[in-house]
Amino acid sequence: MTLADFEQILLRDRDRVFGYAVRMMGDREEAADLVQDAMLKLWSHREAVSAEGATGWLIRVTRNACLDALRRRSFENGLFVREDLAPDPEGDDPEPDRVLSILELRACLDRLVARLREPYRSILILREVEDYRYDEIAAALDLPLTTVKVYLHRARHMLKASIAPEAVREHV
Amino acid sequence: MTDPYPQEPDGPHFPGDAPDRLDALLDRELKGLARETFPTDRLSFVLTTARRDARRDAWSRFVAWLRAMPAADLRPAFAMAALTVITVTAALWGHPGRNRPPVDPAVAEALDQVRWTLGFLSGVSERTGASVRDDILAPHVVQPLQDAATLVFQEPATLN
Repeated sequence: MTLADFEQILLRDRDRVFGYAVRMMGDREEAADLVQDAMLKLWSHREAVSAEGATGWLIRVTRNACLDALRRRSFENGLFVREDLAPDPEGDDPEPDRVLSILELRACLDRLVARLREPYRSILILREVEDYRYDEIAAALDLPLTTVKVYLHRARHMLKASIAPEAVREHV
Repeated sequence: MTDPYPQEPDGPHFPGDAPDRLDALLDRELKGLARETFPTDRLSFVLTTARRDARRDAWSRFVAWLRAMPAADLRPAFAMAALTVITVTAALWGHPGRNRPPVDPAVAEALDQVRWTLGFLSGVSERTGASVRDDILAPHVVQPLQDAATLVFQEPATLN
């Protein structure tokens, strides 16, 4: 991978990979640290990584870094759950008799996505939020293409199952 | 082979065609979640590091190439190449006047006007200096001094 390839990949993917990391970590600063490290790692492995495989490589390294950081966080904090990732005690799962505003719905979706297990969460974020192609996700997560599609379907199913129908009745 | 990520149990179901509409809502709202922008200072740090490494790599490769070269065999070719580079460089950039781009006519006219103005001002100041000398200094300063000196030298006795 040349410097020009590297620059092009950063310009194209930086915001999407960062967005993925922010949703994984729930913390912009921590996500920025991890993505910056992943970019520098990609550059330091430029002899081994092709320009075509660089996006997948960058996502994979970022994801592994996020999962490591989450594990560390979980180990350090014991059972403590970060406030910004924790379910909202007032109504993470919306009350059936209350219709959510669109902003509330998005905040609720953010929290529900953060609660999905891996690799459902990664697949859902990469595909539905950051708009990566199936083949790019499959390469990044080292999964077969069909598995990615199946897992995405399940992730969406889980997400829908978490949303009370009454809470969104005005939006559907 | 068992699925390492088994499907979650079903959640609540939506009546009628609501699931399709909920799917559409999910599509729309997931795409509508806040977009994140990678901080520019961090991006520029990464790019600066990469560019510095790339320059260092290029220099290292050049040095390695030079060291690997059998110097005795290639010295005449190297000298010839260096001479060619110097000649071409001198031909292209050695005479800046020859390659100077043509001056815009408006700029040329403005420059002429500036030159004329400076010349005119210079002439005026020269004439002003001469007239001060002839009209003020000569009759009111130089002449009285000369008269006084003449008087002193012609009649020294009157001073006592």
